[in-house]
Amino acid sequence: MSSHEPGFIRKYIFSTDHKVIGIQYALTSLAFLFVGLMLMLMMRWQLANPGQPVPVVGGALESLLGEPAGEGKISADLYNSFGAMHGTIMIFLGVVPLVFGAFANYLVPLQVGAADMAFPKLNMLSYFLYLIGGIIMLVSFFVPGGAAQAGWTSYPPLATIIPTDGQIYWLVAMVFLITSSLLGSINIIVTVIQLRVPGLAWMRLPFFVWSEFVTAFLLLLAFPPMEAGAVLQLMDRLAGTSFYMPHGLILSGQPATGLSGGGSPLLWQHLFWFLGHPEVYVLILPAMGIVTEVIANNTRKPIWGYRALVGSALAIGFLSMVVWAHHMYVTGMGTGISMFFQTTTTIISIPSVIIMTCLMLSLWGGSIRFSVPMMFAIAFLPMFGIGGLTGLPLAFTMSDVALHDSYYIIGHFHYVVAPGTIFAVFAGIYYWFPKVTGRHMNQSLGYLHFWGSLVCMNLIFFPMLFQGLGGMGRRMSDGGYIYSAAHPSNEGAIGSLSDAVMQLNGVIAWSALALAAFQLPFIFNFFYSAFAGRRVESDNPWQATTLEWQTPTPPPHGNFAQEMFVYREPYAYSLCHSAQAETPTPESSAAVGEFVDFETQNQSIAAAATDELLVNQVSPA
Amino acid sequence: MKIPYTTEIREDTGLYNAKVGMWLFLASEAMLFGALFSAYVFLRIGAWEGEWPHGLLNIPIGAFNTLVLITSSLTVAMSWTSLKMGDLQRYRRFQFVTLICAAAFLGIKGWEYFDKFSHYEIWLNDPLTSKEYPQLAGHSADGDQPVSSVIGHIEGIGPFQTLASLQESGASAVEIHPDAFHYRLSARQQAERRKAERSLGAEGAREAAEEHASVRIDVSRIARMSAFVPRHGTFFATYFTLTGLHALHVLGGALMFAFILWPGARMWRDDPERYTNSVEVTGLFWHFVDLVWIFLFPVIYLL
Amino acid sequence: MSDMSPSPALSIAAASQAGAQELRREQKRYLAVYAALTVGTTLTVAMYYVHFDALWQTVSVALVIAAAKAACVAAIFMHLWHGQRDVYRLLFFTGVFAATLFALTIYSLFSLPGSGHYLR
Repeated sequence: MSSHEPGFIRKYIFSTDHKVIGIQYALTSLAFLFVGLMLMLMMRWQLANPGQPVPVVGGALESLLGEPAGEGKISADLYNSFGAMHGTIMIFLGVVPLVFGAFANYLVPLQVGAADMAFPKLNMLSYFLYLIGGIIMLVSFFVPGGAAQAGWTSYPPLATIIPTDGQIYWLVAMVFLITSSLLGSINIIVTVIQLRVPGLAWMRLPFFVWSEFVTAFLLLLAFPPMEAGAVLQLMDRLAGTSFYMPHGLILSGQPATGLSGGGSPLLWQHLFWFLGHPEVYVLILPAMGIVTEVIANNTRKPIWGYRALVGSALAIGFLSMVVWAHHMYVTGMGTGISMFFQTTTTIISIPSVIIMTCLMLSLWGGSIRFSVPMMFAIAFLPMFGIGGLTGLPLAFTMSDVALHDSYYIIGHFHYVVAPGTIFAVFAGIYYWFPKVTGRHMNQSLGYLHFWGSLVCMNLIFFPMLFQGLGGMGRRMSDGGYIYSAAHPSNEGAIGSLSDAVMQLNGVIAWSALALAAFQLPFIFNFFYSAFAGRRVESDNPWQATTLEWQTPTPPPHGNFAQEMFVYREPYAYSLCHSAQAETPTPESSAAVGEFVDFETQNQSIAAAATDELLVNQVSPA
Repeated sequence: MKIPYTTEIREDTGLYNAKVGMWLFLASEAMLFGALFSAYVFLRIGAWEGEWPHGLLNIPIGAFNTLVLITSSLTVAMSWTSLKMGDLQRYRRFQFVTLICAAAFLGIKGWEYFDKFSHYEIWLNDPLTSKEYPQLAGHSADGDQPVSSVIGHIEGIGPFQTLASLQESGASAVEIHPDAFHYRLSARQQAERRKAERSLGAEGAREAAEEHASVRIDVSRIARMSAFVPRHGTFFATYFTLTGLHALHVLGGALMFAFILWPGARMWRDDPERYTNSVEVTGLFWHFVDLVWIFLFPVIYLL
Repeated sequence: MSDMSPSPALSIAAASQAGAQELRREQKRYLAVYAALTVGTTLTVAMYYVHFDALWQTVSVALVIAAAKAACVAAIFMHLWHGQRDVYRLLFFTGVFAATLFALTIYSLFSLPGSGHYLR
């Protein structure tokens, strides 16, 4: 037989191993997050200094993008395309592939004790479909007319009539991304249902697995209607149909010609938001899962209210499918249907609060280890709290009508995603980095990254809440200047944007730049530590209880060296024995080959005991 | 490295991996077609009076296609049981019939599409009265009402023509053979008119013959001209999208079966259980496609 | 996964004579369903020529016949009759979500001013 060792291409590029694919997803999505960050920096610059050439990168912009970036200035059209693509890239190419593609792919098979995902080849296909979709999105910047400019929500009739080819690329790329998501979610669900090791009952699953399981169902069932909607919009653009084009459409003062009419822009909104709302729960549920893992590990005690957490995740999953039209309160829907959605939206806040409460109560009485992941996890709690609380006025129709499409909304959802999900992602990266690479990330750089990001994110998004309440609308390429009190045509007008509100644009722009700067230590830390970081002292450096830590470091192909059996609940910290899958009797540990390491590690922990709770759980061998 | 439950079933679920995966995929497909059906209902309810065509689709052909697809579903199920019984020959024969049915379905669909592409509607600047043009009697609810659009086949031009292409070609007029009834008439109105005609006897027969004679329309009187293509209106947009997507699924399923039947047949020698399972799982997809058509046919063709 | 016996294909058949009997019964069920579907299709087309007073009656009859045909295909051809609870649960929730999308999207049309007269 020839050597079984696959070549570099087979091992690292076209791999079917879920760990390699997870890392591929992580690196690709982090790169896209960086692109989104750069787009955001340029946008904020433009808003603070409308009509000024962008410093440093202005020349490059002009040579890359041509006329829309003439003289290094960001034209209105270019600003709109940056805005649309910032949203699209961050959500569909950045956060979702990271929290679902990367974290779920790497950790779910490990945490259920499986050797790999249920369908490894399908997994590889998912990644490459994602990559192709991402490339199409990036390429769309360079096609005639530029990238999509009708917002990440791509509302018709604008999205249909706008002459930019980028819109077609956007729609095609979305079909690739949706297919990738569908295949990935099928993989995760089948893995969790079918490949759990003996002893791993449903209520013994780590909450992270539950959160990814529910997320997978949301992706599976909510994406297809948007795919249908995207196909219809493609038909409108390419085949001249009128799915979304109503009768009597007037374009630039002239009646639209060549259209049959008879369609409805509302149809797109329903189909889009049917996905759009579950999508935001896709963004937050895995984050809550990650935070749960980190908090359990760093408080050295079981999570408070495991059953409540699971029940709430399931409730969120179900309810998220029936709240979508709270994004459509201003479309002229009648009071009956608005009332329905208002009710369901308010109800869905309850399971979210339950989850946050369980996590906060988990801190009580814990022996808290303020490691870098724990800092991010703890910060997640109040930050997501602000995001969630600012969402409450948006659930009610009467207040939403005033706040819709204002900067308040932008502040609200960024609080949830940026110091919310992204902080959870950072926590997860710092936490699982030692298992994936066998090395620790540098702690000092981690703390620097944490504090800088926390302060800057609040400086960016908190003012936005005030801007929105002050009347500033979103998607305005001049930063609201045309509606401001300073604008000559608004002399003596009531309700124009005050100077205070306009000046916040400057604060936000500088904070955005600082935020980008504070990511540099993280980027450096990430790559440097992967090759030259301090090596881990054991397979389980955080002394965690879940299954993914019971493997060699990094886990080999096939993950576990032998059959696993689970005896306990997932966060069995500070009980008799610490690991979820540790064999209960010390005598049999000799037959359990690779646990020898763990036993030795336990003894060395006892020897270096600073943590009293841990000392109690080491059994005299 | 072995992944468990690829062929043997897991006790607590009673399923093997691929089956769970396929059912999940079918759930997502159900949402996809469900969304398209919702769009169909949404657009139909929101359509203006007289703008939603009725009776333009060929029902016998559609019914025949339904029976073709149902037959293929049967042969797929029979082929799976043949495999379970170890009979490769019968499996092959049944699958061959399945593929024939799939090809027939797609072929008939293609013919339907092509027929639509050469079937025109002309909207007029100023209406024609059916008094001047008795051939247009079936275009108005009561014999005298003026008619602002004419549907039928046009002599001498190919498919996909529009007013713009007509003007470009320099034609001054078109000869259109009007259909017996305009879609603006409801099914009830059409039935009533047919009854009235039959009671006219020989005269009625002559009138019917005249109806198929052509009407000459000057290009200058035409406000808009379109074949029954997606851009004609929301009905055809929905029709083509829904049936087109369905046809793509039929094609995909057929290709999967063909792959399993020929290149993939090696697995029967190495791992017959897994081979049988792959047929079962693809069969699930095929039955789902049949299911979609079972709803599509009445909703689009009949309602 | 291949076993050691000379003809894996035969082993499937040989594995259960009783299994083969059960499969033949299954095939008879398939043929019965086929007959039912053909009848259902004929009914569907025939229904086209019957004129109901209200649109909702036409729609209901059409959907009931279609649902009956669909149930036959799902239960027998797709083996759901053999009782796979997880699949039932999945299909139930899918149905609920699809119905919600359908119902609320359509309902939103009727809550717009001046609408709702198309069904009457």
